[in-house]
Amino acid sequence: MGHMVARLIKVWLMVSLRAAQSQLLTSWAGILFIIGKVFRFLLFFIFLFAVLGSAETLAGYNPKQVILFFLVFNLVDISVQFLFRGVYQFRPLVVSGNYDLDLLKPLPSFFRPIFGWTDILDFITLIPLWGYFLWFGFSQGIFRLGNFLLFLALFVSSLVLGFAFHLFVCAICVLTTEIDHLVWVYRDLTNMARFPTDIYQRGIRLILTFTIPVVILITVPAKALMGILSWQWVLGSFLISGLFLWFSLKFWQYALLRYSSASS
Amino acid sequence: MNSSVVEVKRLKKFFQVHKKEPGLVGSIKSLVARQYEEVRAVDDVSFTIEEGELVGFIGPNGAGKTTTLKCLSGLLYPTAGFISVLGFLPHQRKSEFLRQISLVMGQKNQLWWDLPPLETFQLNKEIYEIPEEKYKETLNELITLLEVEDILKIQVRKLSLGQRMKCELIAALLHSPKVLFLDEPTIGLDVVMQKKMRDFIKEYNRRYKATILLTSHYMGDVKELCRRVLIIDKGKLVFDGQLSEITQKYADHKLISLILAKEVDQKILNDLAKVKEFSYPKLVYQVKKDEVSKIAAKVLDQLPVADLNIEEPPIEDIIRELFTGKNYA
Amino acid sequence: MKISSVSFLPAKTMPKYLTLAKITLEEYLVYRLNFVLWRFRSFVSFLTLFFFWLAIYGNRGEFLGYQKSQMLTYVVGIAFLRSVILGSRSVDLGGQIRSGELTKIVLRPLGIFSFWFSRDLVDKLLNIFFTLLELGIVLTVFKFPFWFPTKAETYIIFILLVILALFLYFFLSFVISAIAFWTEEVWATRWLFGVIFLEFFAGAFFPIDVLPIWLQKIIYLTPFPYLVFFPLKIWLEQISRAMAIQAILVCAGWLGVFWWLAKVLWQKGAKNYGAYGG
Repeated sequence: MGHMVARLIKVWLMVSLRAAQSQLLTSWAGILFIIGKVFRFLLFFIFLFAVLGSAETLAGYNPKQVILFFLVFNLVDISVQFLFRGVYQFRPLVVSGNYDLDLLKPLPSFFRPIFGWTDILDFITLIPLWGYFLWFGFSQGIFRLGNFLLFLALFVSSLVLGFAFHLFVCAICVLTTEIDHLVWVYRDLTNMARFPTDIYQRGIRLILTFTIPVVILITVPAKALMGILSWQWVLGSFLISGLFLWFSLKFWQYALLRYSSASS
Repeated sequence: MNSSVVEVKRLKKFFQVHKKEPGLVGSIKSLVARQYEEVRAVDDVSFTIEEGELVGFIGPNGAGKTTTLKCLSGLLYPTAGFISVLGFLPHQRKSEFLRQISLVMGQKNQLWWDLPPLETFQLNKEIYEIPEEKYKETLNELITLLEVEDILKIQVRKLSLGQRMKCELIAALLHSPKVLFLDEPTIGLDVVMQKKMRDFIKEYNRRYKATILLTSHYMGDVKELCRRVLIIDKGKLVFDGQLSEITQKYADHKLISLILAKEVDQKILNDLAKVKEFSYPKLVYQVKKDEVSKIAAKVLDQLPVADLNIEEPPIEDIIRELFTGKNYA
Repeated sequence: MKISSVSFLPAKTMPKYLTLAKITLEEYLVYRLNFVLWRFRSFVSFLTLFFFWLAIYGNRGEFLGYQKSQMLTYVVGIAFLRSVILGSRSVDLGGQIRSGELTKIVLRPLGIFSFWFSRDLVDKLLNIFFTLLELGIVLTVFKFPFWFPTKAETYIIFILLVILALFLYFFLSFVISAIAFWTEEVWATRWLFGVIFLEFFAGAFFPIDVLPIWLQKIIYLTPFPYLVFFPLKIWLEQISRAMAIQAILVCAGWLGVFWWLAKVLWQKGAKNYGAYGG
């Protein structure tokens, strides 16, 4: 088992290296995307500071906490995008029929669809982000060790949840090849968690917890970090992540059974 | 314990395809309720294949040959029936199964487009866990056989189609598969490349005793490579046997081809028998089997013949006639 | 290959444009799931902003120079103006240039600008229809006082600026797409300039005047604020008549610039296009 995982990680690293090479060799699209992402991050940051400077609370949270929510959002969002970016390349892979060749390799069937296109540039942006996050937390005295460890555990759980969702999207792509907007729905809903999700009405929060569980993905780790998360929520979050994972795997297997492959 | 490498019993594969009427009304209708139609791509097909065989699946486009191949390789889940390849159920795609087979499809690629082929080869080495020594040995053999020593470090996007196909083959064969599925391997290639490809496949089969199944709608592929042929049309297996049998079984006519010594009035030529082809001095008659001797005698008698040959009709013609529904025994 | 002239009036080719509109509509219906999801996405981004500001205001009546009803009206206004001004199919142009499809289109007897504008029109009409529907639902559910201008002239100036902004965006978007003649990075350039820069600087996320002054000054130098921000400021009657007139003139100026730029780029690009081997 350990050997299998080690091998998969090695293959993943080799694939990512080639993906990075391909990108560097072909286009400066990657650079443009990074510029855009940094720009968007900075602009929202400035906006938050400007608004919070005058408002002083948002749904009961003080500015430091709101900033923390924003930072955790970015950490989770970018990490998920970094790891599971293969999804964006999956539709052309299916439509061209080249996915057939991947299906017949002795790798997990979802390996290429999800992990096949990790973006090295995203990884580069993660480093300063983590740096700033840690500096901000520790210098402002917000982090306690216990909370931080819980945060890390929930962060990993969020990654599992993100994986489950992306797998679900890939399954939809296999079944219908109509994938484009589904991923963006996920992105838009996730973007709602840029701000503490308490600002939304109850109905919306319910949707954000039990459909695409944005609350679990982002708000929960952030709250754990601040030490304001009840144990019921902690337990519930792990449970939901596990459930989503199980369901996604089953659905993916079902989709592959119905796979019809691009005709010759 | 059966020894057949491939065993197929009553395989069926049906697809649901949705239909849409043209026009705006049709679009609105399909918004509300979609109409589906069942396509019977493979309809009750059975056969077995032994180790080391080189078998060809032929048939017109859309006949179901590629679908059959995809079921055999494990890509598609059969609607009904039984398939066993190397003792495995292909659709389960177990790791051990996948390590022993390979699929090459004419226009699909696994090589990384912007990188040299070598990068893909090394990746595959890792994926299939090929030991270093074996990898080097196999790679060198394949490179030599396909004559691609010089291009391994050039980006795939800069290679010609022929070179790319060769590298695709290498990538597919690095792990020395026991069963090789080839789907339209010569499609889009020029005549020279087609021959090279066929020679390679023949040689690979001979040297490594790999079982090879190939589909094609080029008769050239089949004539060159396969002694055993399975003809599939509209999802049904129409013929399974030696290539030479097809002519015997299905051709109801032969060709008398001759060279005229001097010009003859066209009308006289037409009166003797059915002219299949005429461009002076070559003339080809199409003649029913049982009338061959009679007509040949008449021709020799009445025409100035420099040379005469009695031939089987080309296999393409026979098969074409089969597909236009004339001749299923 | 004769490059179709960059004319704009559809004159006697009306039936062709109607057919074009019909075909565009059909395309939407075929990709019905995409369409539904796209509407959903617009609605979700609207909701996010709406609730954000609702929460910021809390019990306050006024914040950063905006009454509560004004800010919420601004958010609603964003949703509406997005569909009117920013709804566009000229996004497809970039892809068509790269794929070589453009040759087919250019050979048809339709002016290129008219062609795209007709498709855009369908896009905008669909967008408007659904946006009004969604906004209607939200407004009835939440029952907050929507801000209406008090003076008649405000409506006129507003509509005027919106029309100018509409055309400004059309040519702006066209220019961005025309980049495809010279580079493969169609999606990336469009995303960076047409989505990120544009939406922030147009005030399509939040009103520009909540940002620090230094940033505001920079943004006012670009054409983007005239797409969403200034029309809404006019609607909310938060700028003087003189400034409103100035906004119209500046917008018209930018419109001229981008119209000219679009024309030039199109002619240059189309000329070289034949050599691309479409």
